[in-house]
Amino acid sequence: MISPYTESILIFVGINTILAYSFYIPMTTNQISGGQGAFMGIGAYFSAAMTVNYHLPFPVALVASGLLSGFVGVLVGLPALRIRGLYLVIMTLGFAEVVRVFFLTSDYFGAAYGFSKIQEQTTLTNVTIVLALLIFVVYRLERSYLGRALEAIKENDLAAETLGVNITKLKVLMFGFGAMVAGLGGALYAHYALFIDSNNFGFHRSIEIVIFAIFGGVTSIWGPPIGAAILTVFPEVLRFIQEWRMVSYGLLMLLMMTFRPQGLVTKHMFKGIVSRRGRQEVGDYT
Amino acid sequence: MIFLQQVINGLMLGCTYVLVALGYTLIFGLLRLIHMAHGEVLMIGAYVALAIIAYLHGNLFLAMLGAMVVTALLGITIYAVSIRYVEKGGHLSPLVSTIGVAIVLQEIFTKIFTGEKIAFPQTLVFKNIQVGGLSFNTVQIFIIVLSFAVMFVLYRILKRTMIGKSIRAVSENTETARLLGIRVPWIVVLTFALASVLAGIAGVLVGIAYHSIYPLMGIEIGLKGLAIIIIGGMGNVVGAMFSGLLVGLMEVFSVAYISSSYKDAFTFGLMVLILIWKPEGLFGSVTEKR
Amino acid sequence: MGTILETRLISKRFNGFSALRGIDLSVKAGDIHAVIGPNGAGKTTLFNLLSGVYRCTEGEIVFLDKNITHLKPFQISIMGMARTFQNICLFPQMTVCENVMVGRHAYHETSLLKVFLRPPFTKSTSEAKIRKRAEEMLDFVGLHEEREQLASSLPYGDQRRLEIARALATEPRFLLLDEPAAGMNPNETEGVLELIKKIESQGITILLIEHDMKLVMGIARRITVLNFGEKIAEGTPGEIQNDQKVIEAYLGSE
Repeated sequence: MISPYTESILIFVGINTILAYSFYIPMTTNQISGGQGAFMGIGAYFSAAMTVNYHLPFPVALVASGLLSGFVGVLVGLPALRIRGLYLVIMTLGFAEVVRVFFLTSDYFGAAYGFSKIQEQTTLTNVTIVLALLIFVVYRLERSYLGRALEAIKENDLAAETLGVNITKLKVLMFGFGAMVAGLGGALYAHYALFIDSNNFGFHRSIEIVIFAIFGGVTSIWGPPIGAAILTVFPEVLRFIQEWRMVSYGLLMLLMMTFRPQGLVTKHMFKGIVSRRGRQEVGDYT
Repeated sequence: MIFLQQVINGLMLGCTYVLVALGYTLIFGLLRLIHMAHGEVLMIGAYVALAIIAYLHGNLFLAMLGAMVVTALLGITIYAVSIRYVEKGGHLSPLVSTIGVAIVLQEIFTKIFTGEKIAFPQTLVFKNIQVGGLSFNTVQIFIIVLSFAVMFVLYRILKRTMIGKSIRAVSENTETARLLGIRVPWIVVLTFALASVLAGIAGVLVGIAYHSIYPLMGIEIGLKGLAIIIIGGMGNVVGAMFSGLLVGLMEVFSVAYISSSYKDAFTFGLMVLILIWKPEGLFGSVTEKR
Repeated sequence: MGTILETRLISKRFNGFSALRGIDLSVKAGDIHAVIGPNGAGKTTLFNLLSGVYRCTEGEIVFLDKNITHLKPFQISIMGMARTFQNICLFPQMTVCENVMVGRHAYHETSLLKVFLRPPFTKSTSEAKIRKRAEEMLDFVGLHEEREQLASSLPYGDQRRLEIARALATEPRFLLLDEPAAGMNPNETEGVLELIKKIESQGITILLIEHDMKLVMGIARRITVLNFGEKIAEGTPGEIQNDQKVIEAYLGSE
């Protein structure tokens, strides 16, 4: 059917899309999380431990590690309520580093040697299933009264709260949900890469996830998949510039932030309403 | 005595951290953004100094001067290219664009010099000194003394000179400063130059202290600097000085008494704790700008 | 019912700065009660305390016979208190109708499960109801035409109306209006006056902050005057107009 190479690319596109959504989801309430790499790591390591050490079936490990990441996300999301904007980004980036060091120093998880001998369990099929489910959930959520409440929180959370919206509950929920999604992405990643170590999941991975999301645009549900797809496929397509891949990456970030900080896909593209604002900011409407 | 030895080591490390943190602080205080390529400025400063000593046969003084000049210009360029037109883009945009710059610089230097560590030429006369039961060396003294001298000079600049006062004015309220006749764009450029010079000096000192440099050295120090300004309070000069030294001491002690793998954890762990319990930092951070 | 809201010696301090001190306020159900005072007197701080946005440093607030001093804003809203803001706090990137629909948040009839389990291509009845009520609110304030426009595209006067419609959508028993006529010309102010009377006729109690004395004297049944964080006078419009302390406060602050 399709070549193994193409399948591999598609799987990575799928996983990266899932990860991009993990950033997108807290962003719906204006929470900029620089720590999704950490939640990804938690999902990756714990699912690997479950399948390798406890021989649990992969679907169980997948769901369980997702729930675990989500739970940790809620724990982090609670104090995160008091911090906004840039401070939150930095706090979560710091959290990502703390988690990275945790796995680096944990013998149970392989410490510096990493965790190996993971069975390949991730297939295009299960990645697609997870992704489809995720998109369905987010899509329905956004179009419901909750989605409206989330948008209200994003635009003016104070006003939203005086209208009966429980902003604490929703913000923490979205933060936890995002963490859970990152955990699922991590579990899928671990069972495809077959080897993980702490370097996969710190500050750098978090930044990478942020880039994937904001390149596509975090104001529309179609932003993350487009961003993840392009950024995953392009370096492969341009293999000849493999040498200059990272430099192009950096330049791309620079150019994007200068000329189109709102990402490729924006909310207003689909609403048919011409936005009065000249330039949109990166998910920042307050 | 080991304890005091470590204190000196800690101070030495802390001093370089302080210089880096001060750079972040100046820029954050002025523009309310984090300059994620600051670590790379430090790295380039170190390489410039190395080039001057090794290839141009200059002495340390010239190397330091050269590093300062180049990093000042580099800082201004980075501002012009990645921040000037981006700073309005919300909280994330300047962060991401400066990360882009950082990546580009890291890659370029990795291409030129490979990822390997290069020996940093030792031009200081290395002598061990014994006072009481305490043994320390000229390198440590040099770094600590020079750093404190730089901190002192910076402090005087900010407190006493017109330029320093202008910087503080713009940091507090750009509109008012503008109305008072302060040429804000120039102040911004100047502050970037100043912050980058500090990073450049720090880069040279790191080279001297660790005897080697490599293109990715900016990453770790850059991150540490970030943690330090959070701990001390973003935009707070005194906070940066204090927590820089604190973190230096903490890291040295955790390596000496616990294990080297955990040193980062303590720094970032402290940072996360501060953000949870006292988000404005130990010494308070600057308020929202008008 | 009698008293719908009562504050007992509430005060608010910010890091040593005392914004409000020992405020006793009693609002009768069905009244239009105004709070006036020079700028900085603490009027909006009072609103923030009542709506739960700020926590009282001291004192108690009783609403509908329940102690709401420690409740969160969304809980107070659900109990039946709504407010507008001095600096308009609309959701700028949402449409006029969507803004009002947010006000119906507490009235959704869909459980979380139904959000996801509803079969595709069917419409949610709860959403339809919410939209209908929202449009009724817009009609009430006269913004029905503009319902699909972006909130930020409305002219200033309409934005204030929209905020009122949004607050009304929560079906409050008690409405706090923070300077609803600020920045308006006499025509627009007349419109606001009519709207407030219309709201009163629905049985909603109104607490009003306003600087426009003509509006206040014309519509309020009872007035409380604040200055420098303290209550300096209270009474009917007639009593307030002749109160020496009030006159001094306003003249003195020029």
